[in-house]
Amino acid sequence: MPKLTVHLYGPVPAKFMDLDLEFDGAFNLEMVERRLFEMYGDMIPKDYRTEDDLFNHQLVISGDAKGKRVGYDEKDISHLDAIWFVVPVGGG
Amino acid sequence: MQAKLLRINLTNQTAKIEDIPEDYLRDYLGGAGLAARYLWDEIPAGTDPMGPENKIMFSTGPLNGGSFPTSGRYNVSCLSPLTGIWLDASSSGRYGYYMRRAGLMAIIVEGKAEKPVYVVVNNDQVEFKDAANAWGQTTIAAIKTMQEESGLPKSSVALIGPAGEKQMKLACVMNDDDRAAGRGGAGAVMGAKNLKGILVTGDQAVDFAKADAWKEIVKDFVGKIKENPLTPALHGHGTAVGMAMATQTGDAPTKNWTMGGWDGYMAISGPAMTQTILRKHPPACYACPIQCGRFVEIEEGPYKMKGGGPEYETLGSFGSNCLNDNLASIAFANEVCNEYGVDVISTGSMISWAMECYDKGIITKEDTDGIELTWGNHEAIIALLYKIVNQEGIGKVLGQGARRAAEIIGKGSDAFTVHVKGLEAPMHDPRAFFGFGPTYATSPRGACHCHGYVGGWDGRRGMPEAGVPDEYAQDPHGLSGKGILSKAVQDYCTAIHSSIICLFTTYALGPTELAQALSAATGFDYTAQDVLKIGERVFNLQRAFNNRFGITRADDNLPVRLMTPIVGGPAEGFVPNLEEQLAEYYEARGWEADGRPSQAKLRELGLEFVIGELYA
Repeated sequence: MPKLTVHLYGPVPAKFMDLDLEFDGAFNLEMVERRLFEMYGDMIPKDYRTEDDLFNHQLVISGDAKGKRVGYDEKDISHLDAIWFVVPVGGG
Repeated sequence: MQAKLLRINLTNQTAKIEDIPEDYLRDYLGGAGLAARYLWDEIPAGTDPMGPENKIMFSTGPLNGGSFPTSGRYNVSCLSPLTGIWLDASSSGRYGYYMRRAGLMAIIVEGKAEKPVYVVVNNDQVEFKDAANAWGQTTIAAIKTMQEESGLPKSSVALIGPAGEKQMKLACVMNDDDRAAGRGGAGAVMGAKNLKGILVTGDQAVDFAKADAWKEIVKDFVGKIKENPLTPALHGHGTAVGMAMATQTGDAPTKNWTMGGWDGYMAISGPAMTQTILRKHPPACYACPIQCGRFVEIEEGPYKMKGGGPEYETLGSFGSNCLNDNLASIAFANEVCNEYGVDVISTGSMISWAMECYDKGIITKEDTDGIELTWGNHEAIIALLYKIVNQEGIGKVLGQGARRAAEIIGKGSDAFTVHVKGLEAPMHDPRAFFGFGPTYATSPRGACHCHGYVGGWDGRRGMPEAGVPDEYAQDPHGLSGKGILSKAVQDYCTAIHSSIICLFTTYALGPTELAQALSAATGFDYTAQDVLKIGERVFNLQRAFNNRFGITRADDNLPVRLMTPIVGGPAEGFVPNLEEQLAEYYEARGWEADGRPSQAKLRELGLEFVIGELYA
């Protein structure tokens, strides 16, 4: 059963989360996001979501552990160990 | 609107109060804008930054002194001894609040004291005090000394540490224990004047022109800031949230700006700090609903300390850029910098640069007095830091900043210095967010992320009030529009620095909201476009000041290192298209090809008074 570590840094305000998800078989980015919206959808601000309850990728970056972008066009991302969802914040 | 300026002459130990002309307040606000207007008149070409003729100005603004969110701020301006050009640096805490309660919008310090002094400003009373006890003390102890000696514990002090006393060019002005007007060496100017600090306090009422509207605006804007989704991230994890995101953005410089995809980011991130050394939130900066400050404690070991926690910039400069994933050592370095009063960005940058010099064999253990300056060696980082702040051995060279240090050390070491106009770059990579390219290249104080806080827009949003569409911003590697975005953000941030509030309000408040607040505070009626025009006016006046000191188009550049592709991480292979960006930028600014604001632009902005000198 494929597992994926999800780092959710920013889409849910003040909750920086590292969580493990399991899938029955091959999965893609949309399936991951649907799962996250089932779990945390009511906590995700409207700016960070689309009308279809997926992440607004103009503001939420999705990438692998080395920062390579992950998009909806990849049919199977089960080879990844981890995925990040980040809302960038400029430091000070 | 009425406001007062206190003029202090250290040579004669005299003080006098002046009325600030109303058109200055209307057209330049306060903070950095007011400083630009005064210092254009008072710091002529040829001024020695370390001489008594240089002036240093402390200024707050029309939004300070009440309960407007983040309004404890103040600005410090002078001719920078590090860069030889314009300097403004702002700081949070409470100093700006106390200046207004003392009845002051600004303080100008002139001349040089015969021996070390500090100045006590208590409402309209000004006293020059012998600094025999405070001189030589680190900053937190010196604040206590001045407050106890003056009998004014309810006050705020802007002061220098031992580094400023030694006139080190990376020395900053500190206040409220761990807040810093960090960049550009204003602390060295105070040291050269034999001025340890200025204590301010007062109990005067601060009036806002449209009192009822003001109260409503303050309440509304506090709510807007609290509701912004980024506020809890900053509150929960401090500015160090940025380090946790470096894996995905490539923003944090790593190994002296050469690589991305480092495994150590998370170990020194905000969440790591929260889980390990965070003890509590310190007293927030005055009237701040964000409260991003940290109070950390390391209970044992060589890095035992408690105090202000490291900001993102410290984590970048002493952490990722040195390949150092030891969080305790970074917190300790931060505390040393605060106590000695040095800029964490420039100082950490000098250490990462020295590490590369060591790695390449340009400097050796003989030069470092035995310090093995290998990447990630946190003990060596701290040892070298002490050499810098105490101005010992190679620390004397590094304390002069990247431009001068590379001239002294030579052997091609200038190829990997990372500065613009002599100011070391902050911890944001223009190869990750292209908007930093023109921003760093043109900032009036050198490489700077605050004069154009483009990180709050690039990769996120445009600025509709300035006519900048989202499409110029949302792709951080976009090839068109970054010059225009940079100009708009610089103008807005310059208005923020003149108001004078925290840049973190800009996530929730735009030029429209700033105009509403300024109108209620001053009684002048401003629109969003008026606010952006004020920012543009001040920015161009600062540019004219720099033209006076020799800056031309040739100085608007990025260092070679930032124009070289990075290895690894999400920014791998990207280099900003700087020439095209600057062409956009210059056109948007209305600047001549030689780097001067055009005469037409100067007239449009009401800056006719600089034309005679710039176009003589």
